[in-house]
Amino acid sequence: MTHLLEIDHLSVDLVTHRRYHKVLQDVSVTVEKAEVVSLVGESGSGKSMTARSVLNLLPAQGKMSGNIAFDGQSLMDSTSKDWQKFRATKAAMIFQDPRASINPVHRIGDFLTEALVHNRDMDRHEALERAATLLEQVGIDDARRRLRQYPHELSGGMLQRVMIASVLLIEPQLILADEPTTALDVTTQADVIAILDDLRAQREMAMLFITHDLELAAAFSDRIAVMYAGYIVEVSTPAQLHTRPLHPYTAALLRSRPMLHERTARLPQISGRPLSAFEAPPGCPFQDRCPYVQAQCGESLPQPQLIGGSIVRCHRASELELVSTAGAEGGQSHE
Amino acid sequence: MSDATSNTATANKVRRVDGPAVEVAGLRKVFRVSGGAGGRRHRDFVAVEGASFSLEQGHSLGIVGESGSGKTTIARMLVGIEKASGGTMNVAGRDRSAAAKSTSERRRRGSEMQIVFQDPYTSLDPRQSINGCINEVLKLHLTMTEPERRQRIIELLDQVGLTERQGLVLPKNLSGGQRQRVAIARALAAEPAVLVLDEAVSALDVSIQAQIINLLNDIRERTNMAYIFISHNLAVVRQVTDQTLVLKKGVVVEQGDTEKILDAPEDDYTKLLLASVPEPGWKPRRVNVD
Amino acid sequence: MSVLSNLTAREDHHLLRRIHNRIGTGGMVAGGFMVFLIVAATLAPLISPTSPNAIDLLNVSTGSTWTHPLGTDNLGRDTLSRLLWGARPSLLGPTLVISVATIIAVPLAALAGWSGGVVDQIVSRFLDLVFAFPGILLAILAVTLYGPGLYPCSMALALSYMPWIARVTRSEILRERNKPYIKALEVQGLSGFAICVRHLIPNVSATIWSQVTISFGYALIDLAALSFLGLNILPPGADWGVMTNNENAILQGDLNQVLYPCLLIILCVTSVTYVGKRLSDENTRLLK
Repeated sequence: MTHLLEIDHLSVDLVTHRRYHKVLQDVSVTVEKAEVVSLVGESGSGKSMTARSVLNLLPAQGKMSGNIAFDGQSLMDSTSKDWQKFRATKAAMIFQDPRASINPVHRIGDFLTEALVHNRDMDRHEALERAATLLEQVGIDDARRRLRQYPHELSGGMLQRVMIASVLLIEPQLILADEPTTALDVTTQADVIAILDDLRAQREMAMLFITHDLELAAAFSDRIAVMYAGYIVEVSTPAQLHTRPLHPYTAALLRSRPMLHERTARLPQISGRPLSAFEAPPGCPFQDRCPYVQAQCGESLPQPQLIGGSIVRCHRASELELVSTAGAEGGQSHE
Repeated sequence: MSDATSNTATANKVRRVDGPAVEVAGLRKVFRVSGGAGGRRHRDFVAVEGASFSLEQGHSLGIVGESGSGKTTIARMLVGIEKASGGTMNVAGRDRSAAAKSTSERRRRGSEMQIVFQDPYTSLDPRQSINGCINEVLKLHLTMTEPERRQRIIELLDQVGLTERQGLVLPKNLSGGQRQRVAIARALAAEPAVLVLDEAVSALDVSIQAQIINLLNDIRERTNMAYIFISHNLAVVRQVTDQTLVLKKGVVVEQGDTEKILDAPEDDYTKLLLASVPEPGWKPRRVNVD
Repeated sequence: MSVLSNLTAREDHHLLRRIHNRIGTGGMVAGGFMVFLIVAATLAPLISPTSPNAIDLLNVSTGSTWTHPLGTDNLGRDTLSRLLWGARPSLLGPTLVISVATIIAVPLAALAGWSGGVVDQIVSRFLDLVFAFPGILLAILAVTLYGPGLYPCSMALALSYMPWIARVTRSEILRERNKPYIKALEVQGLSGFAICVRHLIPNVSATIWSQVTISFGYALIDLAALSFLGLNILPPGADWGVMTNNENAILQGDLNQVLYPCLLIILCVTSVTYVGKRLSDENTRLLK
C-alpha cells in the first residue's frame, strides 16, 4: 500500500555558526489520504523542521538523508523546478504568523489570485470569483469587499482564514500546518480549527498538523507523533496516547499540563529543559530528564518498537505502566 | 538544574501592609488614535472601562481575556508605565492614581509592586550578568552592605531554583525558563507586596511552564505576597489564582472566585471562552466572533 | 548546564587570538595597518629620515633612492618624512571631529529618545537645523572667523557630523526603550539618567560605534579636502591632503608624489570602516 506521504529515516543537519548541527534524527512517519497526523513537541524538538523538509524549505546549506515520498514517488532527487511544481499543486503550508506570510502592500485579492493567474493561466476575473467563494467557505463575510482590502485592515484570525483560503485555492492533497492557531485567541482558534475540520471532511485533504498543544492535537487528529530532541519518540492515536502513553516523555508531558477543571496542588514537573537534537546525549535523548533511566539508556539509542498499535522509542516501554493524569499517579512520579 | 526550591527561611521577605494589598476603582484608559487616512481627526479608543477590584494580601487575582481585552493595559497602569485616564488605584495602602512626580516616589512604588513580563528573551538587559541585574535592584531599594547583598543574591537565586554559578553568566547563556526565573528573582529582590505577572508563563514550553507555576505557588505560600496574574490561559489561571476577573473589550463581564467562574460561569462570554479550550472530546464549533 | 560549560571552555586567554575571533583575518590586517599608522605617526620625530620641511634643491623629484625611499617632491623634500609627519594631523583631525561630535550627539540623542514629547520635538528640530549646513561650508565659515588651521576646521566638522550620529542614536534608543527590560527598570524606580547611562546607551553602542567609524572616514576625507583647498593645514606644513595638492609634481610627471598620500587616505578610511563594521557586528552577535 502506498502512503500519501511517507517520511522514512529522515535526518537533517543545518549549519549554524559555520558548524553542522543535527536538527532531525531518524524521523519516520506516514500520512494517509484524508488523515490528520499531528506532530507534537516542545521548542527544538524538530516538529517544524520536519514539515519544512517535506516542502524542501530548509535553509540552503542543509544536509538531508533518508527518504521522503509523496504518493509512492520519492522527492529526494527532485530538481528545484520539481519542488516548485510540487508546492504549487500537491502540498501547501500554513504558517503560524499570517501577517508575516502575506505581502502587506498587496490587496487580499491579489495575494489570493496570484498563484492561479501565474501558475495556471487562469483569467483574473474567474480567479477572483473563486477566491470570493473560498473566503465565504472559510467563514469570511462580505468576501468581495475583503478582496479589495489590505492585510493590515484584517484581524489576525481573519488573515489566518485568508491563508487557509489561499491554500485551498491550489487544491492540494496535503496541507502542512505549522502552529496555525498559536498566535490566535482561543475563541478564534476554535473557529479556525472547526473550519479546518470541516474542510478535511468535505475535501478529503490530508494534513500534517504541527503544534505544542497536546489537547489540540488530540481533539483534531487521527494520529499523534510526539517529538523530542529531533526524534519521534512515540506515535499513537489520541485516545491511546491520553489513556496509556508508552514513552516516559509523553506521560510526563501529559501530566505536567495544567488542568482546566481541577486545581492540582503541585503540577508534576519534568526537571531540566527540552533539548535540541544537537544537544542530546548519546543513547536515549530523554535520559537526563527521565525518572525511569537505567544504564542501558545511556549506552544505546532505543529503536522504534511496535506495542499495541503504537510505535515507541524507549528501552523500557514494554515494562513501564505509565499514566497521563496527575491525580492517578501510580507511585512512579519522580516529583 | 535543580528543581524549584529549597526552603530558605531568610528568603521569605515581603512588605507588610494593613488592609487590602490592591484596591482599584473605576479604572479607565482611553487611547487617542488618529483616524482615517491623512486625517487630522482623532478617535477615542476605550481600552479599559471602569474596572474595579480589590485584592487581599496573600491572595491571587487572575485577569483573563483575549487580545484587545485590556488586561495588559490594566497591568501597565498599575505599575505606572501607562497613565490611567480615570479611576483610582491604591497599592499597599498608598494611592498611585496619578503618575509619580519624583524619582523617590517611583522607587517607593517599585518597592510596593513589581512586574514580570511575558517574553523572557527581552526582559533582561543582554549586557548585564544575572548577579549584576539583581544587585542593581537590591542597591536601589535596600540599605545593605556589599557582603549582605552578595548573600541575598544567592538566596534569591536559590529561591527561584538557580545556582550561584548561573548568577555569573549573561542572559544569553540561559534558557527561556531560566531567564524567566531570573525575572522573577529580580522582581522579588525589591520585596514588593504585590507581584504582577503579565502572561509570565505563556511563552514557555509546557514542561517549563509547570516548573514556573509550581515556583510561583511556592513563593506565594511562603511570602504571603499578592499576585495579579494576567493570562489568556484559563487552565493556568485555575492553578495560580483564587479570584478571577473576566475582561471583554475593556469591560469586566464577570468577576469572583476562580473555581466558581470556571465551574459555573454565568456570562455568555466566559462560557464561550471555556468552550473554546481544547480538551479530550472537544468538538470546535464555528462561531464568528470577529 | 551544557551551554554554560561550553562557554567557559571556549574562553580564550590569548589576546591576539581573541581579537582574531572577533574581527577575523581581514579585520586583523586592517586593524594592524591602523595600529602601524598610529605608531608611525607618534614616532615620526624619531624615525623620519629628514625633517619634513627640509628643502634640498639639489635633489628634486629623485624617485626612489637609498636616501629617499619614496623619493622627493619638486622642492626636494623627503616624501617618506612628509608622509610620516603628515599622518599626525591626518589622524588627529578626524579623531577630534568624531570625539567631539559623539560627546555632543549621544547625550542629546538620549535626552530626546528617553524624554519623548516636546523635548524630543525641540532636539529633533535643532538637529534638522544643523543638518542643513554642509560641513565644508561650516568649515569655511570657521576659517574666515578664526583663520585656517586644524582646530577651527575640526570643530566645524564636528558640529556638522554631530546630527548624523545623534539621529541614528536617537532612533535606536526609541526602539530599545520600549523593550521589557527597560520597562522593568522603570517599574523598579531607577532614575531615567541611570537607565540611560547604565542600560540604554550601552545597548545601542553597536549602532553608535558603526556610525562613528563611518564618520571617521568621511571626516578624514573632508579634512584632506580642506587642506587641499588651503583652509586646514597650510603649506609648508604637511598633511596628506596638502600633499595631494602638488600640481608641480603632476606637471613634471611625478605622479607618485600625489599617489602616496591618496593611497594612504583610501587605505586608512577603508580599514577604519571595516574594523568598525566587524566590531559592531560581533558585538551584536555576542549578546544574542
